[in-house]
Amino acid sequence: MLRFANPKKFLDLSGALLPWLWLGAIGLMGWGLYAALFATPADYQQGDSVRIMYIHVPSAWMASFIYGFMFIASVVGLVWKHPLADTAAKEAAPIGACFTAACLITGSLWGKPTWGTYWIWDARLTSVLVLFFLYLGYMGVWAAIEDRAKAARAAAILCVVGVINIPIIRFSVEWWDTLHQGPSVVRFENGKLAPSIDPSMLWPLLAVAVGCTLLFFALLFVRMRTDIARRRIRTLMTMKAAA
Amino acid sequence: MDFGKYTWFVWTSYGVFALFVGGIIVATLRSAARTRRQLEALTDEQGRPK
Repeated sequence: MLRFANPKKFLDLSGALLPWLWLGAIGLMGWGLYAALFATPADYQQGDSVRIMYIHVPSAWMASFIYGFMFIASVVGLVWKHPLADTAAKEAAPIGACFTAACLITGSLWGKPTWGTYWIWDARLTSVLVLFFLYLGYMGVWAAIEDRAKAARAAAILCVVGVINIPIIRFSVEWWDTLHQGPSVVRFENGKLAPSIDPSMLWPLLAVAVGCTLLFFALLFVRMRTDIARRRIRTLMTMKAAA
Repeated sequence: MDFGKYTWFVWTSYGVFALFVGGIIVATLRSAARTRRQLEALTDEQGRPK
């Protein structure tokens, strides 16, 4: 895996993968969102408000997944000092912040008709809000420190410390009494992990979730390639100024 | 498409999702295009400094 972290190899590999990632993301998200709005049935209890699930749940999954990805990249950056690991974590953060913001706002819009309120300080909602602030703090550290190596180290430490919030988000609905429902897409039943929603709802939900994951990697690769190009521009400008 | 009393909530949610996801896509692609133009101005066709 680490041999693909060489910038030259990364540029070659990401260049070859990008068209497929875009294609997959557009195809899956396009079909999933179309089905979510026009083809899936309304819920027997929640009615048509359940359609918000198809964007809220994938956004929530992406919010945690991207932070987990940043955590791994930060550890690799801290331990092996690999410059691409820092770049990966740095460029993933704005994407994660966008998905977290989308999760919070769509959840709030789903909460009003379902719970009767846009917001409540329960453990799940509050821990996701903390995740959003962690993303902002992480980006703030990168923006505030001019020296790239120092910024990468400080941001990576913040990311590693902040990862404690991920299990809190995951288990908040089991550890505390929350207004937010417990895990309901897949459940342990009779010792087996099984989907708890009808396939007519499950497939569009999975399509949007996988589409969002492919979109994340497409955006991440474009952003990392741009960061590498930006560093090259800085080097060329310095060489030009010195000549 | 009418979703009865949930119409506003559903369409506003999808609008918010489109705003954030579309926003990060547009920001990423614009930044990439701007950087590519800057790099092209500094290098030749083989990628060597001009």
